[in-house]
Amino acid sequence: MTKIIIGRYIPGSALIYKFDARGKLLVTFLFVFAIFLANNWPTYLVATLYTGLAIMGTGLRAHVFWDGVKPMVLLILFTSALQLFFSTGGTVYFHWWGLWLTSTGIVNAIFIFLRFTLIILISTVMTVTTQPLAISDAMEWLLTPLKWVGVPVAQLALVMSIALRFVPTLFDETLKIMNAQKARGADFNSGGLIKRSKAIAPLIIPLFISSLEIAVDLATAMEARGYQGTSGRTRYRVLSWQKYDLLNAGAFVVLLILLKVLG
Amino acid sequence: MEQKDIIKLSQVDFTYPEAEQPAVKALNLTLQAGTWTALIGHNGSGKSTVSKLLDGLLFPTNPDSQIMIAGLPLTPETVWEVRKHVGIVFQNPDHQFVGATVADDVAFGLENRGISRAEMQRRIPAVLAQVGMADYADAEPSHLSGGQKQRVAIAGVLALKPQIMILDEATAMLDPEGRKMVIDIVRKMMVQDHLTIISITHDLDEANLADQVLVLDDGQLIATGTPAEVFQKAALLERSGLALPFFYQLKSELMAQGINIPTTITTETELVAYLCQLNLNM
Repeated sequence: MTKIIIGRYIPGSALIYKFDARGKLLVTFLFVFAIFLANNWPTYLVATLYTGLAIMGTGLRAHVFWDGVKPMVLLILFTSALQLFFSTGGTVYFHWWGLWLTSTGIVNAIFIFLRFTLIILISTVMTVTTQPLAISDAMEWLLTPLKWVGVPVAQLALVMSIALRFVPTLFDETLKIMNAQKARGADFNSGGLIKRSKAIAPLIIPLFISSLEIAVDLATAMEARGYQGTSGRTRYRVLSWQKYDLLNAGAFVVLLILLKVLG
Repeated sequence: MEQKDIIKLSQVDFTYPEAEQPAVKALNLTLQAGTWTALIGHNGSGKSTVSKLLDGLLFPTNPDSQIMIAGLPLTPETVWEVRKHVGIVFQNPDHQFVGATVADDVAFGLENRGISRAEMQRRIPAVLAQVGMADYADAEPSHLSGGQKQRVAIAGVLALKPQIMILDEATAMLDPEGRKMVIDIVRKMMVQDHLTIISITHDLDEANLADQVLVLDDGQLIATGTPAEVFQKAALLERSGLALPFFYQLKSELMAQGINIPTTITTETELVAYLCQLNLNM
């Protein structure tokens, strides 16, 4: 129980792991818009093929991606169902009160279903093949324009990486406090909502205090190691574009062109 | 070995805000370069305050106090310059690990100093190899033991090439094996890089390894000398709440029983050899 995984990174050695995190983040982001270019069977087929290739490229087992989609299944089905029963047009197969089952409805429902699922699958590909730290570096890069309007992007990035670093530490701390309270007879697992919420208080307060203590210790340690703000700092971890990234960009451009031509 | 005074404290006073008693009182201290000094004392004796004063994390509250580190007077203006010469390893391995991986953590101090990336790529593997953590460069802290994290912290200090390394109860939270490993590495580095070591500890076995022991009680130095000299004063140590190392405990018990142990015997092995020769009837 002491090890938790932040994000859903799964170590691997496929080519897609070597793609630069910035490229992957950007493509994932743009894919959400690109999918709206798809409006007929050929374009959806192209988008599905693109996603399928990306999934195969990870070399991971299918259930990894199913885990990505699972939490969203109800939302996807609900949205698709709305399309299915409330669209009008085309041949009417069935009509009862305000519900229509039409050929247009069926096609729209399938398109909506695909659109949602593909977006989730593509972002799953990104998160399982990119380390959280690299994603945080990539976000810093994407946010660079905000520096020009005075947003302290470098500080925010440091805060983000320290937060990522301390998640397991605080998790261990929580377990320790929980065990200490259980040893004194606390019960976290029974009773109604109110009783359970009350049981959380003796957990939250010591956790809050110990996080403050950690923060004070950490600040002292950082100062002792010469931290004086982010100006004048150099960087050890640097993202660098590789020739593989041309493949990533190329594939995405091909997708865009096909969507445009067939759409 | 060159014998210059690397640390000089004169009349240093420090009182925490809103505290009634000063934590450190009129402290005078001179330490020579390349030596190992152990600073011992019970909880609240002012040991950790001294380490923070030496790195400018705290400043003396008396304007007449003077602290000289590596030839520089320590003032709020020179503090960043002085910190280049001083590295501290703190007590809790988890609370000083800044980087997301071992290599990132060692890099943190170097990044702060604006060291070029090419130089970092040279230094980081080198210092990790020195502390025996070369195979863990990409490991995350949650996968390391306390002793391994402390070795990373030492690597982070060594990478900055300081002249002084302070161990602020750095081994207090480690198991005996981790403790021994950390101490061995520090000792090796002390000789190799001519480092000055100050170890703040209440583990008297660790203090026994030092060249010089300082005993602090209520913010005042109450004894200084070699471990052998200081540990003779059993009564004094007991009064300041410290337990003697096993070797000294045994020696003083034997003396109390009327068995005379020659002063030339300073280690446990020598004592065992000596006792085996004796024809005792007890």
